[in-house]
Amino acid sequence: MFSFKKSEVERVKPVLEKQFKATEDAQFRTLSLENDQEIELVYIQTVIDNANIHEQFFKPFFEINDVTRYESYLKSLPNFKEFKDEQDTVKEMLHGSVVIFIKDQVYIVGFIHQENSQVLDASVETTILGPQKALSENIYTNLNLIRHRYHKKSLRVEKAPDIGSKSNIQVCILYDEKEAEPKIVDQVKKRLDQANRPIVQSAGELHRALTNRKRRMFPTLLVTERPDRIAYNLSQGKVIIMIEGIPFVLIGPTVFYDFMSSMEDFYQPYWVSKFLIILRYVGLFISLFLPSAYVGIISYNPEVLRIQLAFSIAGSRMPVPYPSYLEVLFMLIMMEMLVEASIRLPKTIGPTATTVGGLILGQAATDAGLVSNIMIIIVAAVAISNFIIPINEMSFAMRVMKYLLLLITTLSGLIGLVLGTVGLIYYLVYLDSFGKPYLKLFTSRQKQHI
Amino acid sequence: MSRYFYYLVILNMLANVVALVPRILIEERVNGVVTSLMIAIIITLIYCLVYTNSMLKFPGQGQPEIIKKYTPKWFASGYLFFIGILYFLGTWFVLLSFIDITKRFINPEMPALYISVLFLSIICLGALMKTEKTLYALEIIMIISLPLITGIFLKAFLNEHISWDAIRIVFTHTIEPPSNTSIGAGAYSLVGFYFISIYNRVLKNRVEGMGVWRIVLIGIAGTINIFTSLLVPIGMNGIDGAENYIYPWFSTADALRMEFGFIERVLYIFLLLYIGISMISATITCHIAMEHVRSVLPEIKWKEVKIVPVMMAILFSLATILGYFFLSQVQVYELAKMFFSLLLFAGAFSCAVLFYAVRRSKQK
Amino acid sequence: MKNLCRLSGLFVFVMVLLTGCGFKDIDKRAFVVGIGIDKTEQNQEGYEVTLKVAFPSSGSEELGDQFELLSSKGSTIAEAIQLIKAKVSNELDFGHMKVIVLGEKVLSKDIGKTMDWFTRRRDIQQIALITIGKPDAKTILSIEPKGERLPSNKLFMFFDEAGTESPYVTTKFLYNLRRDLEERGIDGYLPIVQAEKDNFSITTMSVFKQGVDPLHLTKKETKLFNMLKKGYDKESIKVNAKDEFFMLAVDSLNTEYQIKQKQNQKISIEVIVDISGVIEESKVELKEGKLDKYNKLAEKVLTKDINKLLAKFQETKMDPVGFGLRYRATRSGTENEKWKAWKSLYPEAGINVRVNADITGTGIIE
Repeated sequence: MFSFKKSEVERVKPVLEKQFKATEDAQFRTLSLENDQEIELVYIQTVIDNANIHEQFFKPFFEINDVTRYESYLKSLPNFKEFKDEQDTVKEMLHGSVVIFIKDQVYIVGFIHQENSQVLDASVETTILGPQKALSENIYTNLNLIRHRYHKKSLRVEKAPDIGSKSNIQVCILYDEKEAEPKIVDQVKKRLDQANRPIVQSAGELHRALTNRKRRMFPTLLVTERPDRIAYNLSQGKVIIMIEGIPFVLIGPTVFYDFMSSMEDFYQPYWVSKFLIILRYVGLFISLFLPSAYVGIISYNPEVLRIQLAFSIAGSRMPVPYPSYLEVLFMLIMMEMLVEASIRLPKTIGPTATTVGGLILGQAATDAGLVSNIMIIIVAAVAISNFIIPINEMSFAMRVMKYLLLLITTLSGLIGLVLGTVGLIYYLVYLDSFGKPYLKLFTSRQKQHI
Repeated sequence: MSRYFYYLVILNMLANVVALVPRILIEERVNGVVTSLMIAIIITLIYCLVYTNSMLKFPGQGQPEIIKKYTPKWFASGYLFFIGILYFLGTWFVLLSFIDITKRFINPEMPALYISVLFLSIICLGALMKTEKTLYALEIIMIISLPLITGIFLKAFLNEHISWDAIRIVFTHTIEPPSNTSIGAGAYSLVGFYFISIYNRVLKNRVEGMGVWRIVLIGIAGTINIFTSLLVPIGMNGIDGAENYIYPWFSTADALRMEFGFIERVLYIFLLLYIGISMISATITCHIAMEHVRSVLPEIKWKEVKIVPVMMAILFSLATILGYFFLSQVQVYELAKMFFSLLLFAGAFSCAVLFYAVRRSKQK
Repeated sequence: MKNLCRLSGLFVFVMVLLTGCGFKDIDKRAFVVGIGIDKTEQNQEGYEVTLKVAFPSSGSEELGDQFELLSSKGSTIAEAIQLIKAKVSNELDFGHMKVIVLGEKVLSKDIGKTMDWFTRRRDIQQIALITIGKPDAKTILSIEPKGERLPSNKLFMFFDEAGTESPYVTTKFLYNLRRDLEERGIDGYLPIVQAEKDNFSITTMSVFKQGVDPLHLTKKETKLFNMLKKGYDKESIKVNAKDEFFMLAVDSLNTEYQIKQKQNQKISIEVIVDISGVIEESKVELKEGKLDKYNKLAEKVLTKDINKLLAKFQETKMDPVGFGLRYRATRSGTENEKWKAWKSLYPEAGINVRVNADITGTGIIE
């Protein structure tokens, strides 16, 4: 229990009045009993649970009819918080707390109400056999979901300082105390402290704020919407960063394989899941290397191909007036545009756009002699195999990466492709995710031996 | 032993069986090369036993720290600098031959300067990474290329057109005096264990010493490797025809074909795989060289960046480019012969120094 | 960071300036699928080089007729090709050259010199197929067999074991021929492609070594040689004795040979052939119980034939089987000494052929 000098309460009140008096939805209510005992409630109508405030605060006050007893009633409320200082009070109010002045004391009771707390269907990472529900936009609902999947007493929920000097978003970190390495937890907290951005609206944005590298190509933290993935990662000793109002969480430290794994892998029979993983890596290689391999082989070393194939490619390229790399670029960019367009378009016209673009454009482009038939096959293969990568962020990164490989191959042929690949491996290996090596084969959960 | 140690040893075996070593061995093919190789393998295995066991006595420490601690300062600086230069030379030979191979077999019209800049930029950036990171990159490249290369080697041996009589002729010259150059060249493919001098810093070994059976295992792998390197080109190109090739292995790979493979000509798969292997090999030796030389130079910082390794990388790149333009292929070949023979003695010296350090550490 | 960006931008720019060479699209290249080397009539020294350049067709339905024959004369092959280059608009690409046809008359020249150009160029595949063209290489290249989708496809399907498997066809790759030419103790041999009206046939072969006139083998000898050399087991052997006549379909065939040296001087070549198979065709009635007799018969016929063939090689001092190499591989001493010894020993060597036939049945009827 804190006890304050008179001046302390007096200091809080003017601050609140100054800040919120002009705001329409801020409420300053004074309630008084017959015996001149008075309390004052301050809250913002629009962030608290307005429907229940009467039931929870006003009615008991008159029923109890005694200020001291009302005080202990307040302390028994589930979201009771102790007063720290003026700044904290302001922040709490903004996050949906009711501030109550009773005599000289200041009490804060969380009474948040959020509209969008229903649990959403998993839409970004869908599985066939796994749980079908994702997270909600409410941090407490999400905690509830996770707690129900991970019943362990060592699960720690810690509140991190709010993120964003303007948006003041509430952030929580979750970890299993027994599994997570304290060093990594400390590092996550330190990074969260250092993160400064005026507005943070999404997990990706927080991710950008958390990595000290300004320009980043590959995701080093995993963004997910699946509670089962969160529970699994908790058991793996990862740290989860939850953000208010976003149905996604950040998981760190993550390594390259996490981005190539789908929760489905755990729900399928062993060999099936191994097959799926292999398929995914094949897809990754195709989407990365096929366009550049095409340019490298067609324009520098056609003798690599079998003679029959070389001739049919040469034949289909006959009417194409441009060098191979322009042909590839043209088709790839058209394909990227189709993909982008179908994301941005309303769901009802999305498929139409892709059909029109994909079928008609592809057919017309070959007929017009702008690109070769083989090229259409390659572009389609690249596009399809790119979607195989289960985590969106990684598939976006790989989409960009293939252009870099294409550039170096165009400049230097197949040798450039090999060197570019080695360079890409070096870069991935060089990356860190909260002090963990990003790309390393055979990472086992046991104590890491080099 | 950590698995990364084996990767290092195997990497060095693979990286050196195609460029300069086989040519030297083939030149000596009727002059007791089998005996030479046997001697080379035994010598290097003894070195390996002594050197690796000595290094393992200092867990978590690299050669520079050990030498600096137990030997006089003047000696330590001179010795480490010398070793660093040797590693740079090793990298230099790999690079020179692969730049030449690229130019000869893949892109004859591409300017050599461009190829060397491409190679060097990747290698130098890789060598500037942290020590353990180079190991992760090594592992990935090995996992990708090792099965394919083993497959190609096997395919070469199983080829119906290989001339076993030509290979048998090599063995009829077993009882002949060995030559220094072929011992040197044979030993060079096995010296991967020296890489532990720096990598001991990050290798977390679960064992105290290097057991005999591990040595035998490495010896068997090395023997298979070096004999493959020597015999397959002879089997494919003939005992009398093998000597004319500048890069016998690439001409041999061109003689292989995969009737039912996606790519018919094995040469291209082989070339591209080997470019990858030589890249990582050059990166690792360059990294070791830098760590050695850097340990004797003062640390200079410029805007928070340690400048010494970067300067070394630039100097090394210049040396490589100049080397390529001012030395002919024949000169490089002759130099390599000398270098390989020199390494035999340097290896003995190295083992002796380290052995001395172990003695000193026990006295203390 | 900004500086670094600019620096890398500059770097890429410099790279772009440096490069640009070697970039040549596949449709700007003229693929040479076959090369023919002939001797010129007037000039003893010169060659007539014929290139078969394929033109890819844009529609996959069109067939054949998509090549051009370009030929030119020069004192060396490289010179002739320089002249041909002046006749085509696209860059000549030898990367896909799969067939090398040597005119019959070229063989009278120093074959080593002729082959030098092929082995020196990096862009010529070592796995190119090599053959002798009769009457000359140009004729062979100009033949357009029916139903050919790719120029020369038929020709290399002949040699490629993925296509037909005939007991008369000897596959010889470029590296193989070069090895035989360089190697002391084995002589080169090549299949002969005979031009016919709209097609070609391969039934004979020729054995040669540097500086000596080539030795042509007959059909039967060719078949026998392939059997010995390759262990070719998809063939039938005709066994013809007084009143018995049958064809033996070979299932497995294994040839071994040894060079034995008696009392320091004379050597003898021991050839052991193990053969097993079933009877494929017969003109007289065969009895299951008399298989032993048929074995003996087959052995006798084969022994005679092989002996005759090897004696022919010995007479002409040819050694396509590689007895000399085997001799070198089983003796010690310096290579020059061994070779000298072999050269004096071979003409006098005795040849012992032993055939072990094992007829496992008479087919599905008696």
